[in-house]
Amino acid sequence: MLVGIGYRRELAPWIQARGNAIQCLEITAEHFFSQGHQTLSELADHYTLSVHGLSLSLGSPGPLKAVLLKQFARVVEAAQPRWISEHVAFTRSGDLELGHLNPVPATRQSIDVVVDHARELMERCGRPLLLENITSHLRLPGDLREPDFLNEICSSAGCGLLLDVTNLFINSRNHGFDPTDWVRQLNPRIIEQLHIVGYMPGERLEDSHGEAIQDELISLASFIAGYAPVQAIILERDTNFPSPDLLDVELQKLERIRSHR
Amino acid sequence: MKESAPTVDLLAAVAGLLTEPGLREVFARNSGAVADQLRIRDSDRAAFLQLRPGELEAQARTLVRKRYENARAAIPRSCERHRDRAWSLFERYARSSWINSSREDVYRFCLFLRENNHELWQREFHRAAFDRFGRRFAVHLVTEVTDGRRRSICQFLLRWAGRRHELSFYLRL
Repeated sequence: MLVGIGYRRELAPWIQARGNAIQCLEITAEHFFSQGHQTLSELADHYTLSVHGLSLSLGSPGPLKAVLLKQFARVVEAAQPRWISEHVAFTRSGDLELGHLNPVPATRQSIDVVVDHARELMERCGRPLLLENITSHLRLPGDLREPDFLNEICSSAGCGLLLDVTNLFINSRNHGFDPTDWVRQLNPRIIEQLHIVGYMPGERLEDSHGEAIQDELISLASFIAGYAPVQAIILERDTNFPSPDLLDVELQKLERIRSHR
Repeated sequence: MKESAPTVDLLAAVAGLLTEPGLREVFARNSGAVADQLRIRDSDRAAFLQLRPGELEAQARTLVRKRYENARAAIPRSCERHRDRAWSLFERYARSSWINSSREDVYRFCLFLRENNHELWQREFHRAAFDRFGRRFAVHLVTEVTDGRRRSICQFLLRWAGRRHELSFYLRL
């Protein structure tokens, strides 16, 4: 299992100093839409890359936005990643941009929409696609349980699952279900990558991407690493960057999870 | 004249609720009325009526929080000056309208701060305007108070290779 981190310019010196301790970098595609392709080529020489999209809105009915698809494909061309990834979510409706990931109902209609878009994305980029589960305060009524929904999407589209451990844990606490039971309903063969980062505690847990990984997340991720043939685990720290020593502690947590594989 | 069939699907209706606080308030009181107002497709009406107002508010707040984080990244010093009030100021601004573009959003938040006599760091406002209007070059004379001292600054902004570059000089006038 590769250990990796979401690439951020602020973390570049720390990443470089870690040498072989970091094998994989996740590139947020939107950060490189207008510049930085040379940097991607250089990173590709030293790391396994995964290009991760935020704004393609695979869950929105209708065609994908052509300009975003083109920009995404150009980033993939520059990065030559092992995987590309996006979300089972919608971020726009018509001309209305929501700026964040929102849930789609677990229905046959949603499966058709996401599968069509997933196939188009894979065909355009020529790379294996992973689809990520999101966190959401809002639950939309559907016909399927979420694990079955994800199983069917991945099976029909021929793609894998990027299982965000933090998103799963947050949803389980906010909506009251057992996350390990949820995982056991997933086809283990589809789980190819994990995302993990600490959550923001509170009355409702929040996915802030800015906290240290809590012990309960390590336990859940370790369980998943033993359950499925996970190929990479990515630390998804976007903000509130700690000191290099504390980042090393986060890296050690990923190593602990990997040891359960 | 015969009325056309309802056409708005569930996701479009959810998007409308998440971006319009007034609509959510009406939904909490009378979801059926909002379904009629939005002209929800018959096949999606039942699912729409099952949406929970508390969850809609929590998700909407997450979207506004995301907008605020973008704004804070763009105008950090202006937000720092307001400390714990920065978020509530942004929430008040965000209630007025939903903005698609983050550059437009940052610029309009700056205008909101200025029009309501809230502190706004001038150099950040100029950056926001520079980005919002897609300018290639701008020069501004700015007065700032730092460590109790009033200083005059010449701020140069340049767009080069797709990125904004800045050079600021303190002036002795």
